[in-house]
Amino acid sequence: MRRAELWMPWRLLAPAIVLEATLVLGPLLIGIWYSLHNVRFFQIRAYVGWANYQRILTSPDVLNSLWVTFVFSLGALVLTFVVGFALALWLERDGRGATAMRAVVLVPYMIAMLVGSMLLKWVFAQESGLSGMVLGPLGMGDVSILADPGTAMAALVFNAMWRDSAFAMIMLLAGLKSIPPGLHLAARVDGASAWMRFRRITLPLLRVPIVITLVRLLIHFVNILTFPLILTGGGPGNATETVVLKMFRLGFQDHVLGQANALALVVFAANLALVGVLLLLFRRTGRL
Amino acid sequence: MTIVIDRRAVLAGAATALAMPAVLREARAQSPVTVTMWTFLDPTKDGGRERALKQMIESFEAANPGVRIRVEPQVWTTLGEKFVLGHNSRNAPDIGWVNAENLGLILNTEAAADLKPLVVDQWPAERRRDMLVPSLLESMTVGGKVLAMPIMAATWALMVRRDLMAQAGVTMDDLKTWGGVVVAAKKMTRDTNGDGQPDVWGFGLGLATERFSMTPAVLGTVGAQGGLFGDGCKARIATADAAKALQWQADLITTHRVTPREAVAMTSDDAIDQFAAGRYAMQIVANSRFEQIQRTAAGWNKDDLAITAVPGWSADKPGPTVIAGWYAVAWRNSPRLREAARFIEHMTNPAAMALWSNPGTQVPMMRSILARPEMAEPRNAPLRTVAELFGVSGTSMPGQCNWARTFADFNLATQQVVLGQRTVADALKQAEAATQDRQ
Amino acid sequence: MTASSVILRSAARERSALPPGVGRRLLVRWAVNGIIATFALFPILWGLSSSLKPADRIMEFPPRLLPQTPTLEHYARVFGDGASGYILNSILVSGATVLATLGFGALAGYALARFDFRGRGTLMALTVAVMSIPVASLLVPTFTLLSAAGLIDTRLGLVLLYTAYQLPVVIWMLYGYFRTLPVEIENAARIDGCTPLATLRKVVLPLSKPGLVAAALFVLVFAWNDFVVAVTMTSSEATRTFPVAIYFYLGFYGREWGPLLAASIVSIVPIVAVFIALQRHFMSGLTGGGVKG
Repeated sequence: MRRAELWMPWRLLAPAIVLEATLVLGPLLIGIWYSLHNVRFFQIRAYVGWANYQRILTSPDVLNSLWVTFVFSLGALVLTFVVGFALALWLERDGRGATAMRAVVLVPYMIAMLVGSMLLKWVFAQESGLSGMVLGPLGMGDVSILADPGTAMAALVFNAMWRDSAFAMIMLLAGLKSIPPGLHLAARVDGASAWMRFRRITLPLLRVPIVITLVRLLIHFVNILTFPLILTGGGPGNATETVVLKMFRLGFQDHVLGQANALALVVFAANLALVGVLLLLFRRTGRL
Repeated sequence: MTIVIDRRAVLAGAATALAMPAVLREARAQSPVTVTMWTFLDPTKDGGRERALKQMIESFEAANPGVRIRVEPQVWTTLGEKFVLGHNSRNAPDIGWVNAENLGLILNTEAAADLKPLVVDQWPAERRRDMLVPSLLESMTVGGKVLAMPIMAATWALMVRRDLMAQAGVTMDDLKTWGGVVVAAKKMTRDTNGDGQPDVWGFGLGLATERFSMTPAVLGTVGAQGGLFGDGCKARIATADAAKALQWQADLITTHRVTPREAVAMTSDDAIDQFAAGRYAMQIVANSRFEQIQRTAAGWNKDDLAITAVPGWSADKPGPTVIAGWYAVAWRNSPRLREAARFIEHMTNPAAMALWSNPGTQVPMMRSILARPEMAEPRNAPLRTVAELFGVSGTSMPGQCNWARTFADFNLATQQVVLGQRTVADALKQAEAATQDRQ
Repeated sequence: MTASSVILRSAARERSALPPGVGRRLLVRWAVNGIIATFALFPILWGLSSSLKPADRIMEFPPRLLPQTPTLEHYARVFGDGASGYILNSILVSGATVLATLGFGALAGYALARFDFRGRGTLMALTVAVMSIPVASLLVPTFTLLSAAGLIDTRLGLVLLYTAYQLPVVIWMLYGYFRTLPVEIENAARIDGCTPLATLRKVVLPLSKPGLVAAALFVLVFAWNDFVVAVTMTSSEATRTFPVAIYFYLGFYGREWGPLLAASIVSIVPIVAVFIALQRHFMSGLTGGGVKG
């Protein structure tokens, strides 16, 4: 190998590394610095060591928000992935109808999250009279989805699925498109059932897109702010106050940025742990 | 032709285009003195307030040749935070508008200049006497320094539908006390289409912990104990008075059923929308929303909207008129501080206050403005009502205490009581701790 | 045309020649499509319908699904408020972001997918790590940083930030896509004397269109709709992007559903158009991937 070849990968990686180092890792380091200080009203007051972490990890509100995030992320991840995968398979063929339907499914993904969640809230609200149009005929006209902790969480999960299934669909569709169609035909000739072909051809060949989709969705759901902020406001009774919403409130409403950053780093660590577990699971069940 | 070279050319071109405004702005800043102001108003738009601001800028620039005012309109919810962030990175505008909820943030940082020598000390003697609520200035004074100047005053009052009151035989006198409000609300809650669900509720509430606003529980507490803070901004929320007020609010949903249970999930905006939709007979709303409710009133006559005082716990003592609204702050490190202060004076002097009221439709903060003949016209009745309330029961939150999320603490407490998760006392203890942690 | 696609076509023709089952299958297909479309579009169609109602009819109770007296006043208002300028800003910023992320992402993804070098594993792990940082926690330090660099309140600053935030995901996506491509063709190109860059450009990228389109769409949606970063990092009208402009309708004097919804509907149109334009490349992946079979 020539000497230039040795440096080639680094030359290719240089722009990305420079950008990430200055605009992501730099602020992250400042954030870590903040997390060790008492930062009130955006101004650093005093060095406090681990006190912010201690405080965060013993706060019942934060522990509640971690649990809420776990429930939400798990529910959203499973539902979004399954629905997205089903959509990808359903809309795989290249007919005009399927292409039009892909665009249709993408619209919730394309509208600003803020507005999407505002519209969903409007639809879910019993008082607006819209949810009554669906629930009324089912004899549930007096049900308020958003006023009950359990159903409010379900609504939040629905919001995630409604918006992000399209993302999973696109990712998996791109993967499906890279599977040589010949494989399926050959298997069909050999008499393999649709389920067999899915298990033996589609799934194994989609390993990488599946992992990427799952990891991306997981990180997205753990870090999502807009859905709970707009749809449920974290309520009722903190039932949907996710950890990132809590972090946002600590930083930008309570103005205790040190604690907010400590929590952000806890979330960051939790994210890494979750992704690690996910990747391990995949590695154990087969080569990536 | 290759893809990469094309992309490079496009990138280079785009980078140049993207960097342009910065270059242009540098050039513009060379002109004599340009004072930059952040506000939520856009003087280039059509509207009473916008026109008022535009006129002020024009008259100021005419009187001060060589000084130009550049307005950069901002999203109102992030104005305070961005001002402090700008201060931290030596990049704040010369003047920033701040809403009352964010004064705690400004007054607890060193971002604001002392306007006492630059503005207040220059006032003629009668200026102080002319103020409807002199305490307003005191709440912005820290250690003898005046850190903000009130521009627009707003408050929360009881909005009611006259038509529904008439149908139910309720009079304004019935709404003087919280007890009377409950009785009236019960009379006005009705199921008009016979589906077993009320479609007009007696009292509207928005109790979410996001996009929240003033609620009866807070007003009841302030009315009973005079405020939410003791000396040194010590939160006073876990009290018997607050418990009474919170219980009153939760009872609207659980016992009296004059407020929909869904209120626990509704923002203040949601609740105002429902009021405009004709679903509520009464609600505590910021007077600044009067216009919007009238404009969006669906299915009822907008002229039936009336505004009246916040109820009290007894008929002889009206509820508090808590004054909030918008304040001007000058950036402490501004190289154009003198000009900035001069414009702040120009935006808050009697001539400006007259413009804010007309065409700006703002509640007058000076007796002399309230006494003007046009204020007696029927169209200004809501403004007059509120101004009179300022004079009778006007009060303001202590500027240095951080109460930005205290309303949300009350809302969370109400949610928990309504859902049966906590007792009133426990919920308030938690609310008090949350507010205290922010000081 | 490859052999497999010939077979595929004839198979499709064969299917459509079968009369009895087809009608029912078509019916089921459209029924399912109908259900999917209802779920996906109902809230948005409700928004569209409301955006066509006069201000004093939007909140009407009981709600009316269709406007009784449709009006375009809110759309006129949105454009009267200078939407075109803000849309242009959004187009510039999102376009530049997409180009930058795809460019840098393809380079980095290719390096990770096709080169074996010391530190590769660490970099892969770092890419995922950077992806996992909650952006909201970076806002305050980033503001300080951009101010110091003189990039606060510039479109370039926004592009750099968006690129930095989306690049790790794109690297990952493209890395994954490049790995699914047969390495043999690249080797052949390399033997023919192509440099790695030329191989990437002439062989890998054309084969990766579905992956590139998916990544572009993903970045575009983020950059086009971002509010939080834009509202923090910009302050003048010259740099205001469309989502920030939309947010102005959630004003101090009230939430103005009419223009808010009208603007949101307008904001969907360009991305849907882009997606429809890109569909072609999305499908061409079928023959592209067919190389392997």
